[in-house]
Amino acid sequence: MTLNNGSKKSGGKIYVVTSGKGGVGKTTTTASLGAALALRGQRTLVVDADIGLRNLDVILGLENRIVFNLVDVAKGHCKPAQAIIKSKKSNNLFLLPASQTDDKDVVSEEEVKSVLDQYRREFHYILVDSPAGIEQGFKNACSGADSALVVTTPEVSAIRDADRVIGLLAAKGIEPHLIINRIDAEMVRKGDMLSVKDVQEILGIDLIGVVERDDQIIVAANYGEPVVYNPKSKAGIAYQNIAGRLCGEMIPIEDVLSDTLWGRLGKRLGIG
Amino acid sequence: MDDSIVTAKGTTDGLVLRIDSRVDESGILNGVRSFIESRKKFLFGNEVALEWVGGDPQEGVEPQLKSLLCDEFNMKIRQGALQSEMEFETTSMEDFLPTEESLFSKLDNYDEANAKVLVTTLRSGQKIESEHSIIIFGDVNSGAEVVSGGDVIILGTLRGVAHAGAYDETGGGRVIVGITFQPTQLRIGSTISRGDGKPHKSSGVPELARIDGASIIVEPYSVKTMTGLIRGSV
Ligand SMILES: Nc1ncnc2c1ncn2[C@@H]1O[C@H](COP(=O)(O)OP(=O)(O)OP(=O)(O)O)[C@@H](O)[C@H]1O
Ligand SMILES: [Mg+2]
Repeated sequence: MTLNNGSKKSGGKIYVVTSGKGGVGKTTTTASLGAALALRGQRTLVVDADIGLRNLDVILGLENRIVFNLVDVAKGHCKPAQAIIKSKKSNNLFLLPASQTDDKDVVSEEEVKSVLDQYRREFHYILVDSPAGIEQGFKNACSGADSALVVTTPEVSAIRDADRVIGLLAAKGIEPHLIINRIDAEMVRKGDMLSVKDVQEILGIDLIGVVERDDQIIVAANYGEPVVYNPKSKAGIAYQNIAGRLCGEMIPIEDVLSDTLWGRLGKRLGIG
Repeated sequence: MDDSIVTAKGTTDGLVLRIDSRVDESGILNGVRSFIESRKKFLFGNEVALEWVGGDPQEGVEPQLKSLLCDEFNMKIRQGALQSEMEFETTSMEDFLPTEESLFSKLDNYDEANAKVLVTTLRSGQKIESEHSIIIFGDVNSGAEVVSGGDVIILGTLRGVAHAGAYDETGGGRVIVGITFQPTQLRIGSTISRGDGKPHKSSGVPELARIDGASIIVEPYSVKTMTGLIRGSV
């Protein structure tokens, strides 16, 4: 397999998916983006680094297939190839689950980095789902990463935490890209929610995707099938576009406002 | 004509002509005329003060000189002795634009040689502290803090906390300047003012915060206010 996606190190590129604040969509992003990259033929490994609070397996519907996990690989209890699970829908998507019975500090940053490096040669993309917070679990998740996908929602507290995380990533030399999740076009239009531009202005880093609030995400999670397999889901399309941008395609950022009633009217009247 | 009869110097109050009073009347008048003639671009229409080197001039010289300056060169004579400490000798009139020079000479003295200059955005959780003034090319985000013994100048948006004159109860006349002001809190000396909690609607112009009486006021930034503050006259 030859890999050519801009990574200087041999093998694939490792992204940590992180946010500071909990519940903003890290796990959803890891699963959806992993599936979208796999759909494009990119061999992708999603890693659950949320030790003790694992979720990624459930979102992918792979809970009942877990035998070994990240901690087992780190401690040499199994071979790297034994711990990863192929997804139901794609031959290109694999999961390295977290241990549910351990604490976050059962592994060190060096151990996580060496685990990830063992998989790097086999994959084009490795996405590491970080736990919330900025403590040991976050540090572990970052330890092997080349770049970061910082997920935030358009809420002041989430932005503040993302800002903090961006500062910490900069100190580690990890390049951050921003994903704004769960934006609601109608609320933005009414002035009840910060706009994409507002968030971008505060955080001032490269924006790689905007994902609208979409109930299909909850449906998808319940079925254990990432939302990208649903061609009608706006969030699904947004994640496909992010995957395209990660692969170097020039896809413009969606204009969420253009699809509101006002946006459509404005376009028809030539003022949009 | 010999220029050494007349020399010019810049002061914080403006231009001063120093004239040798030991030369005779026609010598002085001719000397001044040729001095100004050759530097018309800078001096014509300007305001100057006169200073006599070598004691008071002979009677009748000063009125003659004044009418020469005022009538022939459209200049004004500034009254009052100049006791300023901040004088500097000029070698050529080319370095010599009175208003700007006087500002710079004051600024030189304004102890900012050690200002800390940062080209970065300060993010939540980051704090910069210096006994000197701090200049930031970037934003200061919510949750970030800038603490300075001097002034705080933010060439970006201030959303976090800025503290100027931090080691002086009174704030020592220090100021906080920002291109866009949306601060969580402003502190000067021991005075604190906090945002109203609502998203601050920026005035669209750079703003300056300073102590006024017992509280901090924020006003549109202007060079006039700033230089006034540096001179300690506001
Ligand atoms: N764009 C979206 N539209 C609607 N619901 C969403 C969206 N993104 C995420 N959610 C929902 O928000 C919840 C939190 O998402 P998720 O578990 O991915 O966040 P997280 O950042 O991984 O949380 P944690 O910090 O606990 O790990 C889930 O119920 C998910 O289905
Ligand atoms: Mg999660």
